[in-house]
Amino acid sequence: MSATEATRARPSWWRRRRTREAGLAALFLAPSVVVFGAFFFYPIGRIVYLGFFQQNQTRTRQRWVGTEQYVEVLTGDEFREGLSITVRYVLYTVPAGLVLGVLLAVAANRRLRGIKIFHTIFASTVATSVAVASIVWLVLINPTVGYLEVDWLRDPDRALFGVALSSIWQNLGLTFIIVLAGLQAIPEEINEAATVDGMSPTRRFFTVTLPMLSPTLLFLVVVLTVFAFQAFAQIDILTNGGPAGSTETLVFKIFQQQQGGAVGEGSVMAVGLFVITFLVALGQFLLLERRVHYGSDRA
Amino acid sequence: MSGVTFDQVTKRFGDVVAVDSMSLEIRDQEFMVLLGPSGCGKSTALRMIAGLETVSEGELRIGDTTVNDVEAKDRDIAMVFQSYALYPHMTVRDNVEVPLKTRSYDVDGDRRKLRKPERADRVAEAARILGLSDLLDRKPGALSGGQRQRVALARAIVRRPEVFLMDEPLSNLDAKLRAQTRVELVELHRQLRTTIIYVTHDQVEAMTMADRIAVMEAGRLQQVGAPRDVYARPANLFVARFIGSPPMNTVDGRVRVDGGRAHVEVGDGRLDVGPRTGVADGDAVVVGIRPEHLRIAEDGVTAHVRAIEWLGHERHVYCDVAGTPVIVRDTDPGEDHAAPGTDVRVQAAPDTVHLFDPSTTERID
Repeated sequence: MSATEATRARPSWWRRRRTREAGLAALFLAPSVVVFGAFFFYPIGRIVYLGFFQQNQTRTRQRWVGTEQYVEVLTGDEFREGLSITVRYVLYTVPAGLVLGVLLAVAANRRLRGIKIFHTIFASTVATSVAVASIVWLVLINPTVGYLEVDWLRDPDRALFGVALSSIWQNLGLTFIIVLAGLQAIPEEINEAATVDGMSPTRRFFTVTLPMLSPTLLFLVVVLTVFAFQAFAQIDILTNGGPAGSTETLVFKIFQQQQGGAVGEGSVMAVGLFVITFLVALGQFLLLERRVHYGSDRA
Repeated sequence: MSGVTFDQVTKRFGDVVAVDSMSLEIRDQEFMVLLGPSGCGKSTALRMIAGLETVSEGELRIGDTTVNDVEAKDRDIAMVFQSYALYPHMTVRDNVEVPLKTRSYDVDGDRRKLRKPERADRVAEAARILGLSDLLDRKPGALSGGQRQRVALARAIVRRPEVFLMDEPLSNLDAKLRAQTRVELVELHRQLRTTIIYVTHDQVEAMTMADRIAVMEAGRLQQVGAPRDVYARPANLFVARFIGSPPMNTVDGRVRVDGGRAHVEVGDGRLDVGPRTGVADGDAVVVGIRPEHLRIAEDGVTAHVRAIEWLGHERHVYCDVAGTPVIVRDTDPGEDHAAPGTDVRVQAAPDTVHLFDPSTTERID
């Protein structure tokens, strides 16, 4: 066969093979496409769609109201109020949770007899459901039977703080595990080199440990923020949005709208929350990425 | 500048004795190599000097100061780690500068922290000595193994410490680079005139770089001496077998003394060992002869040739002598008088035959 014949002959089998590979690729992708489609893309599309309608109380009929509802809800007092409470809740939970998790992990990251027991205790909230943890917390700070004689959850000025404390505690297990893993990935010789180089433990923490932990911390900031934006069960159980609506975060308001039959308004809020969460997470990545060191190797 | 003294130093980890009552005086400006197989306690000894391990018993001195209770960060030592332990998030410049920022230094009789331009000068000088001047703005991830190793050295020398500690610093380099770095380290030592304590399991590194070698095994010091002495007069069977490549041949024998001269009977033959004071007629001994001191001859001990390795400039003849494997290193392989499967006779000059006590394993003269 000459060279020209070879070139001419190529496209037919080439195309056949390409088609076969594309088919195979589609087959491999199918499970994820189905799962993501059914549980992610379809619901998002559906919520965006529902936001263009208003339903009657029994949800038997709906009326097209168009983008007007988006403008109305997203600029309304209800949404602004929910967003402001949510942002406060994020600010209460994320920095404090992160600092506590790092402190706890640093304290527990040493070779001591029985340290595994403490690892297990510190990590235990990971294995506790939000509902159980919330009820434990509820009893703990109950003014009559609790250990802490405070009545935060019934004080409109302190209720959100009370819920936030519970969430910080509930997230602490996860933060602890991830930070501890990050700490243990730092080679021991680097810590020893820092000691021999004359660093005090505090200085070593800030000049070596924290920078090498930065990818872990970035991950946690994003995850904890998203968790806070989406918090629901603890609010439902601890305060049910009260007192006087002082703990009605966006997610809680969405839930209430849906319960009250205002499916359209709730959907708009949900879309609003989705976009905000997405932008915040993206912003964190872009902002913090530049200050994060990914140890490409263990030099 | 100062030396380091181990005075009956013991280190225990629980029930395990890592270093057993070690006494060793490392002189000022000496290049001392702690040599031994893994787990012999050499790294633990080094880490005690660094302050990374505590001393269980005994006294450890740097210069005239007892440092048992001095924290690592307060000791005037610098250490080069096996993995180099560079800070991956810092540039080479920042890595080298770290020890200058954390400590106070004597400047014209005044003890204080260095100022920024002073630090920059010192970093530049260390970089120049180690040929890193063009790499100062890179991060360790962008460097080759050899370059990282030099950054670790720069971070150590920038301090101008009393003592340098090096824990197998060449083991992550390839053979060619290792040979080259050995020479560079010796030059560096001459240039800096500081005490260097260097841990390795590689006898070639020990032989080529050390002023003195301290051979360790099972937490105990076996022998301390100049490379030449340790090679020529090993103190016991462990040192005899550990140093030298291929290692020293050791076979069982029995001493015969007649007319002032001693012989050893090995297998069916006899080896003349010259006048010896430490043995009596009939003593059982372990006979040690280095492969290069054995030669194939007309008389001597019968050896059954099993295999021959041809290396170009020499050949190694693998034999059995009285059931024990023995290697003859033949540096003049011009004439061929051995073939696998045949029997030959091997012989050694009297002063090249080492004798060891089979029960204590100590050398007998």
